[in-house]
Amino acid sequence: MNFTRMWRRMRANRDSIESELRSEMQQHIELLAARLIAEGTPAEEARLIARRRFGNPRSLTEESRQAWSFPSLESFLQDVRFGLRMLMRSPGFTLVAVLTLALGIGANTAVFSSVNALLIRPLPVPNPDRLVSVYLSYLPMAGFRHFRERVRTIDLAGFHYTGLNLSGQGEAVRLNAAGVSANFFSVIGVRAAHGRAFEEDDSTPGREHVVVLSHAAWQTRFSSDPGIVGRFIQLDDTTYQVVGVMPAGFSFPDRAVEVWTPLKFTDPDLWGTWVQMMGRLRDGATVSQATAEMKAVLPQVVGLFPYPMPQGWGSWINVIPTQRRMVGDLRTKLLLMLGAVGLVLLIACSNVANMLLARAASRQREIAVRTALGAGQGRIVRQLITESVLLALLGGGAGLALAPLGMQLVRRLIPEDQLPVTGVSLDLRVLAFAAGAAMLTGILFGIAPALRARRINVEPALRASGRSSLSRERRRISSSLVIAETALGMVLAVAAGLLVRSLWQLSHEQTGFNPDALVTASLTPSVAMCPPGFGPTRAATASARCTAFYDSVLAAVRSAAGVEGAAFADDIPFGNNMNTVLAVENNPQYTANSPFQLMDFTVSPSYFQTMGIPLLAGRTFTDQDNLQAPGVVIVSRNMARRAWPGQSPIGKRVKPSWMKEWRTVVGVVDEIRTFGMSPGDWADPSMGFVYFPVRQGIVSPPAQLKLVIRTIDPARMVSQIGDIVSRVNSTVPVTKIQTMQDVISVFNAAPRTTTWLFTAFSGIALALGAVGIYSLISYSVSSRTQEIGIRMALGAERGEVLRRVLGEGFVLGGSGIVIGTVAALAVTRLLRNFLYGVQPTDALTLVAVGALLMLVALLASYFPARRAASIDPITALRYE
Amino acid sequence: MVRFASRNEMLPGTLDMLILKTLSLGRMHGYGIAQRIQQVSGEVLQVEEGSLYPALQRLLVNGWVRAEWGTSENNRRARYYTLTAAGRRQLGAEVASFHETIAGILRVLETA
Repeated sequence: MNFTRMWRRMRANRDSIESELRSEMQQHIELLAARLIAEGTPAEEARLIARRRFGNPRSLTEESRQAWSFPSLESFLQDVRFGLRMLMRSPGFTLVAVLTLALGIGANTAVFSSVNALLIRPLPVPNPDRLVSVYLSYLPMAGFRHFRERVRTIDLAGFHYTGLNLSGQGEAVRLNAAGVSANFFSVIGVRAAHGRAFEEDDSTPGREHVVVLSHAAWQTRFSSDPGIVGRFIQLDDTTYQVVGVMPAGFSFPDRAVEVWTPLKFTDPDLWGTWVQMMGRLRDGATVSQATAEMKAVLPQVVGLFPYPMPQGWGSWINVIPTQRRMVGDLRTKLLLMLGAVGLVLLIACSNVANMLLARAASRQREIAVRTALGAGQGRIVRQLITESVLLALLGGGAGLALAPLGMQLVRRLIPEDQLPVTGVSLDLRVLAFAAGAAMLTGILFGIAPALRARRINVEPALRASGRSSLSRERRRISSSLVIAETALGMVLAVAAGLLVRSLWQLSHEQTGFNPDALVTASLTPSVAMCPPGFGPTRAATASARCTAFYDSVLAAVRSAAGVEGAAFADDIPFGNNMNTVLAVENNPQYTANSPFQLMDFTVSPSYFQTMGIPLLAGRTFTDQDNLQAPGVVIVSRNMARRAWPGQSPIGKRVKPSWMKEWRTVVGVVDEIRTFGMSPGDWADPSMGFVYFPVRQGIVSPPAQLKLVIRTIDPARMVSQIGDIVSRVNSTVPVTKIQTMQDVISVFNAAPRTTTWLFTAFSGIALALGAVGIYSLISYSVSSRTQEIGIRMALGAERGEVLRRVLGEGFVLGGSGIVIGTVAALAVTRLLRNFLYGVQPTDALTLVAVGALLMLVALLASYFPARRAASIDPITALRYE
Repeated sequence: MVRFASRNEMLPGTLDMLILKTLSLGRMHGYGIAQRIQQVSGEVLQVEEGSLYPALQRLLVNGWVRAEWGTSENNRRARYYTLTAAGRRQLGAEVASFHETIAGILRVLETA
């Protein structure tokens, strides 16, 4: 439309146009009549003819006026005004409907904001869709180099997570670090904000003591020193030069990373340091081509390893987009969550649709009047849809206000290190989602009542007295909606029930050790002080210094008040427990090429006693189990039963499959539990565990150990432990100080939040379902007052009336439950990965949830039923 | 719509053009326009009042004509319309395209 025309239209004054037009036409008629009279027509007849030539003056003005108006917009605004007036006239209805929708849309918006942040919004790097991760597990640096030389489809980079002690400025602090290949930053495609990122020759021996800082580390650890680039800092007692600071918000491959150092491609790191691979697809290459190439190259690379790898190792190698990799199984969880809130929204929709249907019935007369006055069917449907979209938009607005609250909850689903780089926020896309959801729901729940209104028969509707009758058809629609609601509610409630059951199982599972009164902390001496491995390849003096340090810490801790025991381990249960592979002597099933795969711990002698893990046979480790003594191990019950069924394991021998020396089993301990909701990620717990003595480490016996302390006052120990260690050696940072209970509860936090959210969703669903049943039945009771009155006048008992109405609720609820059960059986499979110790088809849960739903349905119909039973037949009949 | 007096046929879009053309001779009120078209066409074309006024409103909105109140021949208040510069341009364009249409129709009639 052209602008001046629009301008003229906007300036036009409708009323004056109309009056001008009227007087103009009046003048025309008179002139015409005058002419006819002049031609000899009688005056009276002339005026009649002239007027008739004009036709209906009203429709003529209407037509002329239309030239000046925006017809569609104008009638739309009229619809909106009218709709708002209708909504304001029944505030109770509006409030309930808006709140219902606000719950549904708010919950959806909250979940979608996380989906948006984690799954949709691209990583803040150039061409994020070309960035891929290689799913393999760690592999030796030399292996990575072989891959890099052979693979054509991906520009590969390697990295591993580590930690470095920053010293020389007050107390030593631990920095989360990533060792990365020199091309890491150029592969990702992000430049430094200050200085430079790594270049290819940063990996050459002698030049590798350079470091790049994250923006956050620069701010917090170096108080944003403007002269940071070029400055020398002490990391792990070695001097590094800061060459660059990355832009704010960049933290890769993990949110926690604070500094990056180049990987050193020299012995002994070449085969001793294990890295993960990621990269950028080269031009034209696809993910599936890259996977195929990696699969093809894998055997060549594994063939170059100096030790045999287990048969089939790495056959699962896969290339996946980095964004998906970073999100991991959160993806499924979030999508499930989105599905669940989608169901809640559907239930809300059908509830509001039912409310609208009930209202439409009482508005029949109004609509009939409007139809009689000439409103077209299309116009009436449009009016009703406008009203429901209006309702939905109000609900959407209220939902948006609720959303931040929900986002707080949903955010807890996301483990700290998986938080999206860009943060969860209400951005434009989320707003668009909320608006879209609102419009869609408005149309969805408005369509049935609107289409029904179209078929209203004007005459009987006008003739009928004010009271409306519940037509058979409307009853059918309403009943199906309520049954669908109940069924959807059943699905959600079953899901919640399963999750609650598995959370209960999880938190009541015996850990196999006594987690009460245990405190743990992580000690991280520098590599210079404790080189990885106490082994003979390392400097004996360093090794001695390291051993002395740990011994002194143990002695200091044990002498503190209230301490009952203390020990070291390379990791604690519920930590980042690692797998190892063992060959079993004289057992053809578990050889070096097809080894036994299980979790391993490297522990100090007092570990079992401190943790409260019972010794079942043989002995525990002693301080004499050192490098000079023969190698020994302790195995758990399950491992013993698998490797030597029916025999005593004491005296049998095993070895890590890549080592030469066999180690003798000296003891058997009881089983422990160390994993949570996703057993698939980790070694099969039924395989058991193997323990190595801390002074006879395996491939890279840890320089950094976890301290476990049993004490009568855990809270006090948590606040004390830092001082105790720093009195022994102030250069060793103490981090991750926690009670064991906290460790376990953090581990269960995500499942707890999932369960909590599902329970909340199904609670909302049940409440909405109850409201649906209640309103349908009370409506049916009130529209049948007369019929019930007649029945009672004819001798029906009050009890019978009560039963009949309750029966309606029973049928509605029962059908919903039956359909819901079938649907739940089909859908809960999706939950499998989030369940622990309970089957997705758990009969107990189904029965319990079904019973609960039936109770809700009967309760919701009880109140209208009582009202029906208390109808006074005389009043009811007189009412007509 | 313009109706041909003899038959009830309509030629859509021509009314606007005829009004513009009529106004190009000078300012005129609605009745005058209708009379004028009827006379000039030799009573072949009869303008229906029912379409005249909406058409005039359309032309006003588009800025092709201007309206002002004046006194009529019988000494009554009447609304007079004048052609604007834009209206004159529009008339040219419509006449040109009308000639094209007619030429096309004639070609069909002569060859078919």
